[in-house]
Amino acid sequence: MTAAVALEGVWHRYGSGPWVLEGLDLEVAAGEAVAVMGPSGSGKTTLLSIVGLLTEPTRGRVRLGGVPVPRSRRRDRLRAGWFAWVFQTVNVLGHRTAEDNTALGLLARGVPREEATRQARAALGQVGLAERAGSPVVDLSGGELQRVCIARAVAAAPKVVLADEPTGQLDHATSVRVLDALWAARRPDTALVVATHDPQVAERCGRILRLVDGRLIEEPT
Amino acid sequence: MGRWRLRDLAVDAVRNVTGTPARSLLLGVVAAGVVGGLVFTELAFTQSLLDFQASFAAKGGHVVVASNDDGLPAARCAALAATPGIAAAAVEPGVPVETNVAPGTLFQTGTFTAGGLGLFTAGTQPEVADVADRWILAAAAADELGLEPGMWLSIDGESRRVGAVVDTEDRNPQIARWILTIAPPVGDVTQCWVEYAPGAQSGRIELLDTIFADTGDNLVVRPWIRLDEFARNPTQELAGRPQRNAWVAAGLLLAALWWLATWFRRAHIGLYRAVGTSPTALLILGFVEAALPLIVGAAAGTLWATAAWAAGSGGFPDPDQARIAVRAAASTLLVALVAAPLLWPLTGRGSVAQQLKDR
Repeated sequence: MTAAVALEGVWHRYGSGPWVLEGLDLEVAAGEAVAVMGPSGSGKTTLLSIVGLLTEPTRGRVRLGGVPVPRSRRRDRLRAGWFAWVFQTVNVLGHRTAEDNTALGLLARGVPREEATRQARAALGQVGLAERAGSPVVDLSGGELQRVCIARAVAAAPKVVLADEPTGQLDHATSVRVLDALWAARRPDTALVVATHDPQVAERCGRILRLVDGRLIEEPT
Repeated sequence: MGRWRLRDLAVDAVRNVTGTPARSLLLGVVAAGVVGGLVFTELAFTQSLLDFQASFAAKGGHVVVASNDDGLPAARCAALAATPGIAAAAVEPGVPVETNVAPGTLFQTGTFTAGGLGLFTAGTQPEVADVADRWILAAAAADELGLEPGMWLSIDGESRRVGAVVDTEDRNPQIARWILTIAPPVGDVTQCWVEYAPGAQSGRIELLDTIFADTGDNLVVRPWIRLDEFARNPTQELAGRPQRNAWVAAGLLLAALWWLATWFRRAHIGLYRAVGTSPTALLILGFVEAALPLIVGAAAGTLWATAAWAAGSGGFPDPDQARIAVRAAASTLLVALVAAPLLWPLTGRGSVAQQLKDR
């Protein structure tokens, strides 16, 4: 079966600094949930950025559905079509409503606003925020904001959701609610790659990878 | 795979603008201040030129006088008035006379063909038909004699009503004590007054030199006023005004303010990029977000400046002033509109991941 996303021989460093990733290979199948663990500074965010086409690797190749990703402006469109993100720091348009923020990914894919808003409301319902759809996000709590980000990620029906420390700034109870929301809202065929320190996040994934010295080591689950 | 629909992108931009009223208001107010200040400066400057031009014309700056003690054909002079852009009158000073109203006091007399009324007064003038057979008193003479239009005045036994009292102070103060009459263009006169339209700058003296070339060696053609008293050159002043190119700096200033605002929105731009917004779509988004407060602010500034200037000057700008002021405002706005959004896609050239962490 063709992997949803694959990295082949990926090396990466920033400028002339040390190598962060060293010949790394990764395959993630559709519907699979993968946790990437490792200490701070080990390159988890860099790895996710390369998988999600936010960063081009210094060397190596990214494949989406078995097809190599070109180094071109088409990456913007591929990114919109394949990936959705949940970040550690809550990234929202602070002056807009939860509904507007959730619809953003859909709009970027050309979904008409009426339809995007409808799907956004549905996604907010999946993460338990149906009642707050019209609220400005500045009125939401930290946990609610992270659930808005999850709703935005899943509303666009991406092939892969990339989550970078999604519970990194939340307390335990809120983390549980956010993770429940993420797992509940994710479609069965949507792959999930989570960079995390949090064992309770990793436990929910079918596969755990540890990033050590720029390479991935698979851990038993 | 689709991409942003233009309409949805514009709606998003409008919501970003209305969702951040303080930022939008600040940019709008600064745009109003910058554009309004430039418009006000242009209006005030051009008004000073117009005032000068009006003063120049009122004092006879466009008048040329041909004189010849040997005589100039009155008909030839009067016929010049048929030429578009030219007013002309044949003028013949008379002799000092006494009047029945003030015996013993001498007043100068003079005759002129019909066009002389406008040439001497440079302002509101009576209808020629109303004064054709009457005395026309220059203001100082009327004052001394205590006469008003409609009263009778007798000179050397010839009684006529006073047809008009004309103010010649600006254009020709030398005839302020004259008693004038309108005469038909027959025979010879010693002066031919010609006033050209302001646009006709060259050939003024040469025209009269040519027309009266056959009248003898005593012909003198000269401007009515000494032009060195009016050393200003409005055309050069307009072309060299200090604020002539200020629209470039003003536009860049507004753009710089927007760039500053953009810098603080790197995370928002990163978010748009993370969901797959292309650089072109970012440029459009940035353009619409900048355009709304800039256009509203520039329009408000233009109206404010015009209203403030009108209130101070007591009148509305003339079409040329309005054109210059609007051009300055529009140029400023155009520079700002072109430059302001550029930072959006440029900001989007770095790492999205890093951008999302920026605050």
